[in-house]
Amino acid sequence: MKLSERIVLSLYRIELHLYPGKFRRRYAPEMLEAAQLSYSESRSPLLFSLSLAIDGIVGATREHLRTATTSVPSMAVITMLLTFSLVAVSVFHQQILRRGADRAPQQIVSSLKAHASSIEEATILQAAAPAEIASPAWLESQSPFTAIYNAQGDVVSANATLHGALPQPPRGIFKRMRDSGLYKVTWQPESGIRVALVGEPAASGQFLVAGQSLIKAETRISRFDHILLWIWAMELFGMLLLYQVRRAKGTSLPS
Amino acid sequence: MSSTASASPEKHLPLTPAVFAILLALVDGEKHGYAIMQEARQHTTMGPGTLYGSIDRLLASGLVRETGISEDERRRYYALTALGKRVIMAETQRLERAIQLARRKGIKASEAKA
Repeated sequence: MKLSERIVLSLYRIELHLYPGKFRRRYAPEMLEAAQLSYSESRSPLLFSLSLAIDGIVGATREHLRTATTSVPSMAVITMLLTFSLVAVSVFHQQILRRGADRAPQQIVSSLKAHASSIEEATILQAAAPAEIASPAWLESQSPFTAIYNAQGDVVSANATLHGALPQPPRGIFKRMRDSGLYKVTWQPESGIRVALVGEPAASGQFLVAGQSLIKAETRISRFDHILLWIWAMELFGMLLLYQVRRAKGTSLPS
Repeated sequence: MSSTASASPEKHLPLTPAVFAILLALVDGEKHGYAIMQEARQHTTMGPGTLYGSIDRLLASGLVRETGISEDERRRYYALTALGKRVIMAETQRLERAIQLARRKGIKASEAKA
């Protein structure tokens, strides 16, 4: 069994604890086996893991609703499950947008590396008109900047400036680049400026780096999280209302 | 799990796609959970949570029964009950009527991909 498969199944085993005890004792071994066999047959482990996680959350919520009474612990578990699922959606959405911000810089670095084998990297960027990273126009744009750094991590050339100077990220990231090859990191030179940086060492020992503003992605994340917060508040209100109605009628929740 | 089995098949209709797929998978004979899931996935999305939640409800409503456990005790086998067979037949008839109505209104399956 691969390490990734072992991790996914361990997480799923933990997720099964979200189910009501009686259901879990009856079906958990079979569910685990089904998950394991399905994983080995899946074409995309990432998508499968995500669908397995969602299936688990939805299934556990459904089973709690089937068996729940108006008792406070049952309502608390349901509320917790709903909260957990919203947090999972938020984290997933955040990861999608954050990784999306790396895509353009990564393409630039790959392309630059392919062309840089035959020419001097330092001359590649000289023709480009420098953009100002701190300017609102660049921060709101989706245009990545490109820069080349020497083996010590000092900037050699760039098609953008930060307050008039060539952009100089912390030198520590270049060691990580040297160790891991392609390296992605969020660079925040100052408050209000956040950049998705992607870098890779070139054959010459220099580093090829491209960066894109994260402002647009983070604004979208923030807006989405606001919507989720409203949904969460409505869920809480709904649960409270359901609790009051059921309590007044003295009945259990529908199965 | 309450035993709320209703003898009238119509009272169980319409079936959800997942329940229809599970009952259909069991028409050939008894199967264990994963085998049901594999067959059901040919026409609907289904994870372990959906499968075993549905099986639990089908057991409670008397549409499915447990027939045994494998020698290593890891797999339980399930089969349709007489009521389960009547329910899937009733659902198939209901779907056929819906399809016939759609045909009369000029809906053709071959045009769906166009």
